[in-house]
Amino acid sequence: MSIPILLLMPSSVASGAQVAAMTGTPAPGLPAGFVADTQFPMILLGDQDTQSRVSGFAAPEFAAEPQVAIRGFVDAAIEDPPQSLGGFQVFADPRIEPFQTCIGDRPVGTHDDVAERLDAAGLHELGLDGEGVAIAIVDTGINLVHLRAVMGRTPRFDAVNSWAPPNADHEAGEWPVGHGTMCAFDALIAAPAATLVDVPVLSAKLPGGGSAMSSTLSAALLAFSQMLGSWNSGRGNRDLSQYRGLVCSNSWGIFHPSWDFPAGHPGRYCDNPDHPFMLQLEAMSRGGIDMFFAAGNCGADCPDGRCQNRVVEAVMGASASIDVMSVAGCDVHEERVGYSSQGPGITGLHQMKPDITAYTHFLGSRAFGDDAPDSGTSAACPVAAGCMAAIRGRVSPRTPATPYMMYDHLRVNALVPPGRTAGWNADYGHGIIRPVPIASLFPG
Amino acid sequence: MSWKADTEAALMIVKGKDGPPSLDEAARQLDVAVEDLDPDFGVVAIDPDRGLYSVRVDASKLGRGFEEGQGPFSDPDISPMR
Repeated sequence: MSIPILLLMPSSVASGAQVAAMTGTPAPGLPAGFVADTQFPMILLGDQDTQSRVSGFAAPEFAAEPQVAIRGFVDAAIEDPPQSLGGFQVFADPRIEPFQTCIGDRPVGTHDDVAERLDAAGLHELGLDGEGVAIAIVDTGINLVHLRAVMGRTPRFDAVNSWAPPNADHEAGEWPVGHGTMCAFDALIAAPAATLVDVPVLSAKLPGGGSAMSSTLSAALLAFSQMLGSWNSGRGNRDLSQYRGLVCSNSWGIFHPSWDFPAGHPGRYCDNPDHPFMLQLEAMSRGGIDMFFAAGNCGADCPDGRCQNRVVEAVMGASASIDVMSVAGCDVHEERVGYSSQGPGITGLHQMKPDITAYTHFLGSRAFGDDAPDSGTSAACPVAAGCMAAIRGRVSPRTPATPYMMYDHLRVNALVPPGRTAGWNADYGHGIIRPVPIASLFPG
Repeated sequence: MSWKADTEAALMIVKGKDGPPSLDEAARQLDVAVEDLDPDFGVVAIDPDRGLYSVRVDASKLGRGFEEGQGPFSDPDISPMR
């Protein structure tokens, strides 16, 4: 096969080679079997120091002459390329790709870019901005003052139907600025008129999390129980049943099975469809609540340290439940971020996880500083949840358009990422979320 | 007993035919004292349509021989994905 290479050679030889290649005449001094790339100009290499270093690779008689790099092709196996041609050093010209975005990297684009990629304007032209729909931000808690400052307006907020952990030390909407505020901001990108519901599960301090007070899964059980009861009450006045739709965004999970009961224990969480929380998720989706979970930050390229370098079967627990949408992350250029957990899901749960991909790692909420991105699959999840909230403005889950039907629509209508084929893959799931084609399926 | 920060908790599933069982009834189903259940957690709906509810129990007070699918289940720490 013909493989691309770079040759270092004296400039006089390279010049002759390129002229010969362009004119189709024999090239004096050009190594046999080397075909020069006429589109690639020869490159003079560095300064005098560089010249003296590279001259060591070239034929001695040319050592005093300036060296250049010239690109071309040679017939060889990629596994066994020649080390030199005609006495000239051969260097690889490997395929390169953009570096994947990792935790700690600078933002890639802004929330305006995300809105553009989602065609939020197209949604709004259809009259879909989340009005009448509630988005429950299940997280550390929302800070409305910060949101007001960065958005220039006060988002709709339902304090009455927000959840307060036992012994809560903050009121709804008044939690310290942090992760929950980031998620709230990101949910409103596609659905700016949606109503936020504050569910600060990650700030709950229940006893029994081990040796220290910690936030545990049971806090989510407790909060979801209230949410489900309120949504299903049928009273339709002051509780969650007043909303046309209820979308639940969850940017949390467990990072490693060592946080859980040992493998094989029947009460384990991370791979067990019979765990009470997994049963509750089924009841939530069956009851008409759209459930979104972050896929996780244990991608093979640059996993979060909490993953302990475990990057296989990294989509676990609720994120691998068949009853939720599991959301991977990409940047605004549609490149998967390197930390986004890849499928398939953990053995024992649904395998085709993540389900879809949404945007992350953009400058948005500034919840972690003016230059810090909204990052992690934590940001991707509410971005996707916001898309669903916008769509729910047109189609209620109390119609045949159940969460399960809408999950399918999200999968089928997802954008096939560049360089990929249609269908599920481990990096992006079924593709990158696109809400407008789904909204267009339902007449206004 | 009073629930302390270092109490090792487990989740158990209890059943209720016509709505959630009381904390006393849940304790009876699990053969523990009502004080062994987390009062702040109470009785939580898992899937009311199927009569399934959950309680948090002091794991050290649990016996053995529960029905399949009743527990004990893990209550792992959870963390933000950022």
